[in-house]
Amino acid sequence: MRLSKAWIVASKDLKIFVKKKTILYSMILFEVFISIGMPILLQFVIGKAENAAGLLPGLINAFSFWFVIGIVLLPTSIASYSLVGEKIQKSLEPLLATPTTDAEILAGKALAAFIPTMVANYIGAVIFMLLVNPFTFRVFLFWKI
Amino acid sequence: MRMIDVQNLTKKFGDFTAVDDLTFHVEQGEVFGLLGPNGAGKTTTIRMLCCLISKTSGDAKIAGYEIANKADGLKIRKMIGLVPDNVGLYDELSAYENLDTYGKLYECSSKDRKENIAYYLKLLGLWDKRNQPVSDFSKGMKQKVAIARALIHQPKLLFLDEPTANLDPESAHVVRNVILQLKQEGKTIFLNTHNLDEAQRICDRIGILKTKLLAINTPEQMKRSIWGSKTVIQVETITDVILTAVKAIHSSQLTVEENRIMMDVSDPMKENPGIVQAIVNAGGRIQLVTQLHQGLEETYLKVISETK
Repeated sequence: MRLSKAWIVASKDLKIFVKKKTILYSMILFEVFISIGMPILLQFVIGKAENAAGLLPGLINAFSFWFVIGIVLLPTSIASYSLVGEKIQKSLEPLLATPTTDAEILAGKALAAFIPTMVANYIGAVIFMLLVNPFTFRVFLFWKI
Repeated sequence: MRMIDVQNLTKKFGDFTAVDDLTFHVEQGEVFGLLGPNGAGKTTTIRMLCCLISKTSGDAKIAGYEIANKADGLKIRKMIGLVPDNVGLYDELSAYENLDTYGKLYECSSKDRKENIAYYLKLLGLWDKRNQPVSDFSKGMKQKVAIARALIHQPKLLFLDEPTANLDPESAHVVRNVILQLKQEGKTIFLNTHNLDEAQRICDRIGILKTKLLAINTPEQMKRSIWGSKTVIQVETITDVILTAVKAIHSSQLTVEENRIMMDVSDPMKENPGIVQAIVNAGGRIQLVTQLHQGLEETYLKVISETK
C-alpha cells in the first residue's frame, strides 16, 4: 500500500470537510460543548455540592469521558459521511477507476476522519484544562485553607 | 495492435445475465461505438473493461493486460480514462481542484498536471471558471470537467459512457468536437451512446448490443449488409423495351414506381454504369440516377426488432 495515495484521498476529503460547513460546524459545536460547556457545568455542580473538594477529581474524570465519546463519535460520522457522500455524488466510480487500490482509498478515508478529530479533541482538551482551573478555583482555595 | 480484445465475455448478476458471450476487438486509434437500448449491458461492459466489476466468464484484455488479473488491473487503470454516465465530480471543490486531485491519483508530475489542466480547461472553455465550485456549474460544464478529468493523464484509451446524454445541443456539439479532436490525435475511444447520428459521425466501427452482440461493422457496411444497396433511375418514359434491356443485364427484382426503376445492386460502382448504358441504348432518356440509403436509425431498429 502506498501511503502517498492514501494521503491524496485524505487531503481531498479534508478540503471537502473544510468547505462543507455542516461537518465543520458540528465538529466545532461538539468541541465547544465539552471544552467550554463542561467547565461551566462543573462550576455549577460544585457550587451546589457540600463536599466540593472531594467531588471535584471524580467529576473532572467523569466529564473527561466526553473526550473519549468525541473520539469515537466524530470520526464515525465523518467517515460515514465521506463514504455516503461519494455514493450520493456518484464519485466512487471514477475514483475506483484510478490506479488506486481499495486499501489505499480506505486508508485515505480513515486518515481524513482521524486527523481532524484528533486535532479538534486536543484543542478541546487544552481549552478544557485551561478553563477548569479558573472556573473551579474557589474549591482549590477552600481546600488550601 | 489490439487495444481491447474481448472473448466470450459474460456477466451475470445472480440469475440475470447482463452481458452474454461478448466477442469483439478494438484496434489502437479506432473509435468504437457500442449502441443498444437501456439495460442492454453497455455500462456493465465498460465497468468490466475498466476493472470496476468482475466478469463471470470469458476473457478480456486491454493492451495485452488481463482485466481479471489484480496486478494487471492497476496497469489498465493507469492507461485508461473513464467518463461515466454520472459525472461524479466533487461539488464542493473547484474544477481545478477536482482535476488536480485526479492528476495526483493518476501519478502525473506537478508540471504535467499544471500543463494538462490548463490545456484541457482552455480547450473546453472553462479556464475562466477554474476556481469556481463545481456545484455552480451547469450539466454541460460538469460533463466537460469530467472529460478533462478522464484526459488529465493523457490516457491511451478512453471510455465514454453516453457523454452527450442530457446535454443541450450546444454543449453536446462541443463535447462531440472534443471527441473528434481526440480521434484526430490518435486516441482509442470506446463510446457508449444512444445517439445514432453521433455514432455515425464519430465512430469507425459500431456494435449493436442487447445483452448479446447482435451486429458489428462500420456504420456504412452495417447499413449495406442489413438493407443492401438500392439504385433508383428516373427515366422520362418507361417502356417495355427499357425494362427488358435492364432485365437482360441485371438479374435481381425490379420495382417500377411511376417513372422510376428501383433495383437491388451489390456493387453500385460497378453495376450502375452498365444499367445506365442499357437504358440509353434502349432509347430511354435518363433524368436522375441515385442511390437509396437507409439511415443508421432504421438499421438499428431493424437489428433490435429482429431479436424480439
